[in-house]
Formats: sequence, structure tokens, C-alpha cells
Amino acid sequence: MAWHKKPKTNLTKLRLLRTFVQFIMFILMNLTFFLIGATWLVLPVNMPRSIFSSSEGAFFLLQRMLTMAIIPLIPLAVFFLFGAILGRFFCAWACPFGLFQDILGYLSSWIRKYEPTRETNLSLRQIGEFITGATLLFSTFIGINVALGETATVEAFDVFVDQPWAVLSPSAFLFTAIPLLFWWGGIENFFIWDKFVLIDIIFWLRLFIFIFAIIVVIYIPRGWCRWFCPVGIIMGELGKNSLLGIGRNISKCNHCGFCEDVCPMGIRILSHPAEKVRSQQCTNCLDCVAVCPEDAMEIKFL
Amino acid sequence: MKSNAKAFLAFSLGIILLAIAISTNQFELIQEIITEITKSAKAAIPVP
Ligand code: SF4
Ligand code: SF4
Ligand code: SF4
Repeated sequence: MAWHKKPKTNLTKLRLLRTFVQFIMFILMNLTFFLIGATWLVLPVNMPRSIFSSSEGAFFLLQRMLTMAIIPLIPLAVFFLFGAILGRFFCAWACPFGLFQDILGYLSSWIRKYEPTRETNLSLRQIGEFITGATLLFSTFIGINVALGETATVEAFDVFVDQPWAVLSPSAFLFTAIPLLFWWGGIENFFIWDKFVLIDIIFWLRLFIFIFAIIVVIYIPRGWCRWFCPVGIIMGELGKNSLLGIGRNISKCNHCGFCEDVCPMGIRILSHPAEKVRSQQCTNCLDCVAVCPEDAMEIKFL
Repeated sequence: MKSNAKAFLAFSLGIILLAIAISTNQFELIQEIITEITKSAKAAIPVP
């Protein structure tokens, strides 16, 4: 077999490029850190609003608008427009929590990764679907109560009334709670128990979910994106039919399976139609394109 | 082709939602919401 294209070199170059783009996007989403004010930029990524962010993740804004009894036209438009054209492109190239998972993956590359079966992938994805559905239903319920002026009912849900999923989401913990702890206490106070215990039970729950997410991602590449992230669930459904996608030229393909081995989302590429990978999981990361020794994987539009 | 039709349908829906959002000034509204969320993010953990 002639692996004349040195697939590994191409892959390293592509991954470096992607990490660079992810960093640039991360800075662009956090311009408030450089004292530039909030913008109305809404993107289909898992980026909660923090004290530094200058843009908003569509799913967090969607919850916020529903709980304020406002029809969330802009977040929905963002999902439909980006999803229809680019699919989950932002997951690979822009999402800060995706970048965090990629960094964890690089740092733990010496640990053996697990590749769950297709059935496990599908059943675990139902947890993400549940999170998405429950968040939307609960946000709507709060919104209806706000509209009806039922303040007692609304107040009963305490911290959950603004953005229910933000309370538990590990990305909100990473980008909101952790910077706040440093901002509030300074690094020298961070580990002082007296101050730490002022933070309530919800804090410990968030910390638990955050650590759980880290463990999942260490053993399964992009584990959070595969199964639990509501943005991934919504964009995946739209991305299955997106105009941008990855196709396989069957006249060139020699079935070596390299593309499947490197796919961070564990997609069984060879069992998909050659015309386009029609998976909810494909993030258009292009790893399979970079690694294919026969140049059989191609970027497709339309 | 069927998939492309679905993509165009989703795209058209997105355009319609965006058009309604623009005509109802929802961009101004979300800028207010975003500014307000930043403030509440800062206030989320009480200074001891
Ligand atoms: S699925 Fe992953 S990359 Fe995509 S928005 Fe969610 S956390 Fe980010
Ligand atoms: S598409 Fe490329 S990498 Fe994948 S099996 Fe075919 S030749 Fe191998
Ligand atoms: S199929 Fe290719 S582009 Fe899609 S996630 Fe897998 S490696 Fe990335």
C-alpha cells in the first residue's frame, strides 16, 4: 500500500490550524475582557455569558428569552440559519467548550481512549435530548408564569428561573463560576475553606457535573459534545441535512479505515452514504479529509 | 436532493424568523438582555 500522502502530517497541521481558529474565536467572544462592551452577536456555540463575554451562546439566550416570556426569534433564527448551511461547523471551529475538550484530549493523549458502540452512542445521546427538552419545557413554564404574574411560583424555583441549564452546565461553570471566583476572591483566597463554604449546595452540584464532564472527555474524545450538549443536539438534527458536508469518492476509497480511526466524534464514515456523511455528530472538523491517503474524502456543498 | 430540500426549508424558516426579529426590534432587546445578564453574572456570588 502506498501511503504517499503522509496522512499524520496533514492531520497535525489541520489540528493546529483548527486550534488557532478556536483560540481566535474564543478571544472574539470575550472582548469585554479587553474593555470592549457587549455586542448582540449570537452564535450556535456552548458559550454562556460571563463577566468577559461580548457575545452570547444561542441556547443560553434561548432559555433567557423564554423565561422572560419573549418569543426567542433570534436564537431560533441562528440555529436554523447556521444549521441549514454549515451544520455543526461551529462545534469544531469556534465553540469554546469544544476547544476546552480538545485541549483536555491533547493533554490526556497518553491515556487510552474508548470508542463506545453505535448503540451506546445512540442511547447516551438520549440524555442530551432529555436535557434539551426539559430545559425548553421548564423555561417555557417559567415564562408562562412570568406572563401571568405568578411571582410566587416563579420565585419558588430560585436560581433556576433565569437560564435553567446554565445553573448545571459545565461550560457555564468553567466560563462563569470559575472566573467569578477569581474575580471575587483573587487567587490567594480561592482555596480558603471559610469563603468556599459560603457557596451553596448548587455550587457543589455544578462542580460534580464539571468533574464528571472532564472524566468523560478524558476517556472519550469530545464526549460532552457527543451526548450531552443541547447545542450539539439541536445543531446535529439540522446538520444531518446541512448544505456543507463531507463526501467520500468511492472510486478513490480503498477502505483503509483511517478516516474512521481519526474521527473525533466516532462516526462510522464507511457505513454512511458516499454522497455525504449524514450523521448528527459530524462537526465538519475535516480530520477525515486531512488523513485520507487517497484524497477520497471531500468537502461538499449542496 | 431530499436532504437539500430540508436544508433549504430550515434556511427559509431562519430567514423568516430573522425578518420578524428585525421588524420587531428584537436585536435592541437582546442587547439589553445581554448587558443585564453580564451585570447579574457579576453579582452572582456575593462579596463576603
Ligand atoms: S456540542 Fe460541543 S462543540 Fe458543539 S456547542 Fe456543544 S460543547 Fe460546543
Ligand atoms: S475515505 Fe480515505 S481514509 Fe477513509 S477508508 Fe477510504 S481511503 Fe481510507
Ligand atoms: S466525519 Fe470527518 S468531518 Fe465529520 S466529525 Fe468525523 S472526522 Fe470530522
